[in-house]
Amino acid sequence: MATFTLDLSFPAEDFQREWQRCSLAANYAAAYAAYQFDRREQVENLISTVANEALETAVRLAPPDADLQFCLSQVEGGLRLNSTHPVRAGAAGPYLNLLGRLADDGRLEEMYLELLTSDWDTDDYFNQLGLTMIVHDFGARLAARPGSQPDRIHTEIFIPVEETAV
Amino acid sequence: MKHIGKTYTLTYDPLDQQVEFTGVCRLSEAAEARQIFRYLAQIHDAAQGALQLNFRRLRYMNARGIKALAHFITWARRQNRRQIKLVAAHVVPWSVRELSVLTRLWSDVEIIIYDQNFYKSQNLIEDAAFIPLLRNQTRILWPLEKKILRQHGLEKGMKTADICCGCGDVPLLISRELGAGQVIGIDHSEAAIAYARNLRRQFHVQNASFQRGDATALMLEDDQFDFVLCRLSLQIFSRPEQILQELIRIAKPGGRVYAVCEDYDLVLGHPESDAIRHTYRLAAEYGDQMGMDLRSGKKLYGMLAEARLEDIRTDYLMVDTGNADREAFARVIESWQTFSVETIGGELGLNGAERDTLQAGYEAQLRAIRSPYGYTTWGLTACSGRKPV
Repeated sequence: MATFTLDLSFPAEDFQREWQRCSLAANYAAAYAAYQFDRREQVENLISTVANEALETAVRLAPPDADLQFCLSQVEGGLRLNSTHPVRAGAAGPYLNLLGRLADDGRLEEMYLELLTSDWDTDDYFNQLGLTMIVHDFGARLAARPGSQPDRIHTEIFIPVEETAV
Repeated sequence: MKHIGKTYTLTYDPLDQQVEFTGVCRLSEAAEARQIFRYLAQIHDAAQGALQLNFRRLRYMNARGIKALAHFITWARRQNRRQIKLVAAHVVPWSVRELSVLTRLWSDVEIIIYDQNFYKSQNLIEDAAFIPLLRNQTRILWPLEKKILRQHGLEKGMKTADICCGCGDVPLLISRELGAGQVIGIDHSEAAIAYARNLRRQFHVQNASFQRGDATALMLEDDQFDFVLCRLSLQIFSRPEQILQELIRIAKPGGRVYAVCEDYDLVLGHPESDAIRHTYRLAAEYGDQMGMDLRSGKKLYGMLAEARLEDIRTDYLMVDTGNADREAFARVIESWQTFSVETIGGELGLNGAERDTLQAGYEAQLRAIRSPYGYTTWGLTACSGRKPV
């Protein structure tokens, strides 16, 4: 199987102004990456869904003048999506906290159901619901750490294509 | 009654009490999710009994879209007046994964995976082991069918779709030998589509593409194709008229819809005529038990006429020992023999004597093919009609 790395960079404002561009970018990355797998349509749908939620998260976390950098690469058992970008003031702490709670999968389903039935605007801050969904429904594994520069964050999402696309 | 978003549409069909979601539903704001909730609540109040939400043509839904559904289901549970059915499909993988969680919100929510047990013989026909049979059939059918396709209006440069294209060899031949402008092949079998893509690379055909899809809910726009084919497939579905509706939908006004079906009543042979006929009668009956109609060729004209197609043309496609390479014909019969006696026989639990009886006619037909004095046929019906302008 061939391996690849796809580097993408976008101004956050572009997505914030026209939300559907998240979907366009996710579909583009997914269509390219899916060529590497046998069950192409299934894999494409999976990657696009996960990538779209990741993009929506980054767009909500970043200030308008930020640049968003993504790198999608093929790794053993699936794909890895890395994102690096600045975060709005005060957002990093709750974001890292959420990712910590998502790793504790004993409460994952309960958390997901709570978010699904919570008030409409609860997840606006940084797409908590979307991140919880990709972990719950697609087995994605998330990790994040502060970037080398202040107010930047680096997130890594592993998409287990081989075990999920069956 | 419709709700139209930026990239998606929700359409209510009161006859089926079904809301069909189409397009891409990736919502950006809570306000959009609220609009979907209100629309569904309104439909809920107008309906009686069960309400179906159909996602078979919705390419994607994001978490905010799922939240709109979760709010609707939580609200419907409080009303406690309707049962909610969610229709997902494997060809839109997100739907199978994301919708499941909604059943945890209310026990009266049911998920139907539409293309699981799609048709009775699905696991047999969508298996990679079925592909050699399809390839052998094409070898002897194509020399006759390419002439028939021209007679039925397939011309150079036409935008063409082959729905239920199997392993893809026919769409590629249509591109190479009949000069179609652009060809798309769609099949539900992942194994067949993977094979088709490899074959396309081997053939170096640039203007053909293949997609996995559901023939009863195609992800293709209306009125797109000059020529739409569906070969040897209507016969395996219990409701072929659903597929026919889709073929007509994607054809351009004035475009043609072309179908080919088996007709085991047209399989004849000599000598040992009785043994051959007896086996094909039995095979057709066993096919009935598997949900296939292997004598449906004669019904095609009526189906196309009922669908209000115009200028209907009908032809026999009669492969026989005179016009086909005898060894290739024999390989087709051997494939059928294995499929019928072993695979279908196994599925239906036929005993040794029943299998022997079935086997006898295929053996007789093989002797007819291999004898210089023998004669036998494989008869099908090809039928096409024009979509009204």
